[in-house]
Amino acid sequence: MEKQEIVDGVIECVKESLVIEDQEITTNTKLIVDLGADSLDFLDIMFQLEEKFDITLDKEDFNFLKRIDLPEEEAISEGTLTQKALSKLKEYLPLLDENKSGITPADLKDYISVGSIVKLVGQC
Amino acid sequence: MRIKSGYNFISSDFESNQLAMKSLDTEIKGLLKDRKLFKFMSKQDKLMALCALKSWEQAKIEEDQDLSRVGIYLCVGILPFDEAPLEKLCVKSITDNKFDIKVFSDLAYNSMNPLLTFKCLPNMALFHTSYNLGVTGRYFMTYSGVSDWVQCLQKGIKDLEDGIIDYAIVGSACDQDNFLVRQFYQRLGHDLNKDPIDSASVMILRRDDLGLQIKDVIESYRPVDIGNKISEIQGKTLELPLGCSQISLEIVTKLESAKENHCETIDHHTDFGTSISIELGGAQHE
Amino acid sequence: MSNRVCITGIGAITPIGNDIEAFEKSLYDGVSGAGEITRFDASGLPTHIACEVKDFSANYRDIKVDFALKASREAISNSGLSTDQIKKANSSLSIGIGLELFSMDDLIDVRFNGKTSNEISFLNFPSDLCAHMISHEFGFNHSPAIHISACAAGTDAIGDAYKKVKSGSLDICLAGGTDSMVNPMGIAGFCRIGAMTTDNENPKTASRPFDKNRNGFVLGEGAAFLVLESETSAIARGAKVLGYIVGHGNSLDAHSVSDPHPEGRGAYDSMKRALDDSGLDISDIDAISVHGTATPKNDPTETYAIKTLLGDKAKTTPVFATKSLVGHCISAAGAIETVTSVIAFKRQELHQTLNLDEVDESCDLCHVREENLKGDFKYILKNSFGFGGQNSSLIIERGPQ
Repeated sequence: MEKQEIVDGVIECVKESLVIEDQEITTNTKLIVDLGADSLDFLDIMFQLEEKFDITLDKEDFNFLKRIDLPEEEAISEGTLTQKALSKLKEYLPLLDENKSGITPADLKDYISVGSIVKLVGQC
Repeated sequence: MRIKSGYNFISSDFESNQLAMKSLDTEIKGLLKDRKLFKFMSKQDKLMALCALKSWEQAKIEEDQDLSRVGIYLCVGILPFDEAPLEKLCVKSITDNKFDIKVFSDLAYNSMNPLLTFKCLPNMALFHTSYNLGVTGRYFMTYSGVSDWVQCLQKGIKDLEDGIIDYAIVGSACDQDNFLVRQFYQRLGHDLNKDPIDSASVMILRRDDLGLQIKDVIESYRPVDIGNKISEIQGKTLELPLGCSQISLEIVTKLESAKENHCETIDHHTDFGTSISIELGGAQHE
Repeated sequence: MSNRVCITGIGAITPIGNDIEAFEKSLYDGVSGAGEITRFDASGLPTHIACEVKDFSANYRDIKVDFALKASREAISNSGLSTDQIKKANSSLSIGIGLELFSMDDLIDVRFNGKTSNEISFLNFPSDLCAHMISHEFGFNHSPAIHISACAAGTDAIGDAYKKVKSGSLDICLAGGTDSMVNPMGIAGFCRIGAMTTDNENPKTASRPFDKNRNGFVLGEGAAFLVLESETSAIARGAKVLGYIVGHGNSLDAHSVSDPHPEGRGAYDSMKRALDDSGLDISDIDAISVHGTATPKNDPTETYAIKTLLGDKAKTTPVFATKSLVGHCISAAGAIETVTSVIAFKRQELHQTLNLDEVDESCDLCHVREENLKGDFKYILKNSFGFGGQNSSLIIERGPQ
């Protein structure tokens, strides 16, 4: 599938689920921070994506720290993510600033963007 | 007690049920406090919320009204289930045209939208109504027919009389253009297959000088022996085609036109032995 | 006119006892009703444990109808009321009931095999029929009140009955609840939103209200009823009074479709309204029968609300969670748990909350744990909180000693 097709499809699912037909959405739009999505919204978006792209998604697919497969001691230092971890996470969370310090694993969800989902769908 | 405002929605007012539903969706989306909650709403939730919001708007409730002193008393219809997920559930649960739990647990289960559960909870109409109005007061939630709606009316009136609320939102909503609902009525010996009607009606009551007066609500009950076949129930009277909303729809229709000397009694009998008599009095308009 | 509302009869069928006597014994022996689901093959679903009623054969496909009939009969029999006495009084039923989920077997037969039927149980058994059947059996002369506020329905039904008897519009009201969602659609629906525990390997310890390792509720089923009667009527016929209902309040969170208000605002409101209705003070509350579902969100929220209501007194007011033994019986929960309080009054003893090995730091109430608690209990506050933010609370008083 062409990347643009995936982008259009993801945007359509997000718009449908959050009832924001008139809003401008790009790959840089962050789901929680910009659109106020919560855990139930994510469940619905995931379901819409599964229907649209005929794929299977799991909650764990959004566990990006697990996805980058870095040993814990290399990924986290004193509760915050290392630069090494942030650089790898950027593949899924392009809006992460890998030079920023003090980002914890719990903060990662705030960086989930439409682009992150496009990446996930593309990998299925 | 006075009815300050009311709003009806009847799908037969539209050219087709499909158009009615489209209008319902468009209207409710425009009124919701949080539009993304739309995906949680069943048809009954939308019907109820639309009529409640419209009725509330018409009532011109004071801005500083204490919303913990508003009560919500709702009656919904027989449990519905949307056709598309129903079909999917069936198709993904069979082996040789018989229910297969293993196939259900795998295929059907994983194909169900998680949010479908919320659409199947009949009490969610109460959530959507309270959430969109910000009401945190008392409530009563019931189903399925006119006699149950009358309980809503009686409770709303009682709480107003006791002074624990200032406004009572009394509502009914029924999704009847629905496979499961049609099956239910067929067993009762009624045929809902032809032109089923979806409807909802909400009225807002208060102790006041303005509005159409409800003078008295009398209920009597002589429970019938249900037996094994519903069609054997004696003295059955059609509650159709408007389901639990029937009387409310009728009353709300009269709100604007009723005069000071209005005097009317609405009588109704149900299949299960309840007799209802609602006495309406004169209307005072602003 | 205000009548004191007496409890003159109780009946129950639960996952840990099919009548009051058996139920009481299991409550105080600390028996868990949880186990692998046997009613159908649930092994393919994420949760396949539940608290099922045992050793019970049903006449109706929808077993909650049988539960309701059994428990209501026990309550009426226990009350000693005769048909004649019921007929001469203003009498009714107030019932919390789950709505009919359809039978998948029948649904598929209709849609694929062209089956039709007039049978009452075909496809589903309408829950309102159950209410009318009970009304007919006992000869009630006022329309039943059917409560469908889900997890709060049982408590709402009792509160509603209490108000009607108190105001004099009824002399006698059979009040309670019944539910069973232990069927493919019920289990699947709750699994799909991740509300239930998936600790299938350890069913007996899976229901862990307030515990640090709790991870969702265990579904239960059953029914319970109480006969509520005006004091005038009870005295006139020399009935034994098991307790009194002295207050009820309910409220709406208007907050979230699935989560309670984070500060338990609605929970606080329903408790406060029940208290105000009773004319009592927080100092009068001797114990709390909590909603305590063992979900990550309910337990801390309920804790917060209780602490807001009681202030410092929350540190010393014992709380007990019946769901740790019988699971979450949804529309029957409030009724089963109110009957539990009536039993507690009789014994002057609260049952322990099972499986509370390590209290979660956000759930720091005065828990009855590890063993039952004897004491001097006159007033119990009972809570039930439902999905969609419906909250209902009762104040129950012990009967004459």
